[in-house]
Amino acid sequence: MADYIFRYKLDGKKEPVYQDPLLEMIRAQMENILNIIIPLEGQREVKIDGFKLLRDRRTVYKIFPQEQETPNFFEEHPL
Amino acid sequence: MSSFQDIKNASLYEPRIEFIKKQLDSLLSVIDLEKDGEVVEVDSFRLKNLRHWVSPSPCDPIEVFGYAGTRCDCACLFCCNRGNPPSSALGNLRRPPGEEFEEMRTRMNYFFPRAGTCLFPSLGDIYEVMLHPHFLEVLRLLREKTSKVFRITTNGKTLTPEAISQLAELKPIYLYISLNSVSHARRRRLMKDKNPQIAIQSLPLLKDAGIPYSVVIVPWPLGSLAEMLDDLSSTVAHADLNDCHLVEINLPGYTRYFSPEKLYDLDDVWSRTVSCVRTLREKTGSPIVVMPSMYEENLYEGRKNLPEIIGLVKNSPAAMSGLNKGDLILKIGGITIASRPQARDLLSVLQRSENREASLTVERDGHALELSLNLEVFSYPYSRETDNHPGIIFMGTGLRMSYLEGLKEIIDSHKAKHVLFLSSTLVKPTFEQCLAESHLFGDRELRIDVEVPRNNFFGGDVFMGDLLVVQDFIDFIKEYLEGKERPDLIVIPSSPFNLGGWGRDLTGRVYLDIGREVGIPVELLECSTIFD
Repeated sequence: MADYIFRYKLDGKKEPVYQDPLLEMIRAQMENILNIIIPLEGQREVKIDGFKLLRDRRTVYKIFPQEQETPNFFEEHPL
Repeated sequence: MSSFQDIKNASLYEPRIEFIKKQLDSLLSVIDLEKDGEVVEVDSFRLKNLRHWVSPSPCDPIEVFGYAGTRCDCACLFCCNRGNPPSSALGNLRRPPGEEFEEMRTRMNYFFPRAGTCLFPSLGDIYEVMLHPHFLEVLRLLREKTSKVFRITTNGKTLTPEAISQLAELKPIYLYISLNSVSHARRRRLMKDKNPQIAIQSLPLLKDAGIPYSVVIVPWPLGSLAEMLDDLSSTVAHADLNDCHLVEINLPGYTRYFSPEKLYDLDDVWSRTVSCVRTLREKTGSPIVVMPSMYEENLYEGRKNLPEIIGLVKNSPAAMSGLNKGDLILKIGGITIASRPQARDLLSVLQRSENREASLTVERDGHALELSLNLEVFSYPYSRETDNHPGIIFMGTGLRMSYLEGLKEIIDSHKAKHVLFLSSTLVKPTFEQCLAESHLFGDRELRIDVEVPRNNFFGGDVFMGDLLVVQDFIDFIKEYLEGKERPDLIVIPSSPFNLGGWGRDLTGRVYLDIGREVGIPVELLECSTIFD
């Protein structure tokens, strides 16, 4: 007898943080992965809250939208 | 074609499925997929090979038959499932029973008790499993795969002589019967059970069939409190008369979705119920526990976490050994006992060991007394298959001292000097007692503030720490930080995030969001969920 099929709906629902769709795709993927893994450097746990594109290392993009109002968080502008 | 699974439920138990969903949503916002040069519209996905989705598990049979519990034929006034918040990840799918059976059958194919693995869970709230048309068939198939105890919670409506004899063929079985009242009229009113005699009369039948059971009672203040307590006493007497294994009194509670209005005075109802139970314990053979047990402990016990015996399972090795209610365990097999969890652990080890005899030292009336526990002497309702201990009942699990070692490690790894520890109303007194007596926190520069967040998510009169969600913690910490010195570390017991093992709360949200929102490192202290 065939297995029961576990099906899940796609809905695409999510308010984008960045209006640039390609940038938003990377941010969303980073956010998704950071909700199921803990990044390490060597054996040390590392907290990640932003990223840069290799083609433009001056601009920092935040990963988590809610962090925008917290202190100690870098602004979204060139360093 | 099968129904869609609930993605919120997957985010709680198997967030890699939610991850795939979000990745696909994200990719499909910037690309179209093609097949043979044509754009393919995709609106869903399915798991390809279920073997990839098998993970370590204790393989409790309920991980298969629990999926039968999607309906109920009672409408209890106090039903805890009635007031669930809409954003809870524990909702149920609406599917035909045949489809549920197909899922259970597939789950059985990937249920490997020897290897300790099975398919990821997707259980929602469990209602009445015995109502499912395929329930017995599922149990029979399961029995071919495991000899573990089937622990079944039921409202008792289907416990006819025929059903009980069918269950008896599938032993070992243990039932939790939500009896609530031995009065036909009151059970009818409390549970909307049109045939209350079936459940009430099932107790002697279960005894005859050799199936041990707990009688579960929710003391709901229907009518006057005196009426409720009278009925509680009669119901306990009926359970005792029929050699019930354990009486569980589940103190009532409700969420803000259940009722926005205050329904009763919680402290009045709870404290009077506990007081009544303490009187009943003196004249009842069957052991009685009140849940949450820490409420009784906080109300009556100056010193917490003690291995004091509050009941003995009838005809158990413990009951046959001369132990009494009120005895305080000092030693087990010559090992000095410092706390209740330690006593429970040792008794569990003893139960599973080859040893058939052990010495116990107890304190009774201020004197030490040595007794011998013979594990081979017992009869119904005790059994070696269904009992985890030799029949000793304590006032709940208690708090493990090892948690403090975990806390110390976390604090040291962060070199923290000011820690905010988030506890619960029920656990805080015991935790503070353990903290004050521990030699681990002698550093004078270290400050640990113990605070209790409110259960805004559930609301109503719910105040269990294990039912707090991420947003409750965020709201509390933000409020706490107003005008106060910022701690350099926040520690939260892991128990509100234990379901599924992925650090998710009951809405499927990851605990990491707390630290992201408040801007202070947050660590979880590994500890078990307190079920009693």
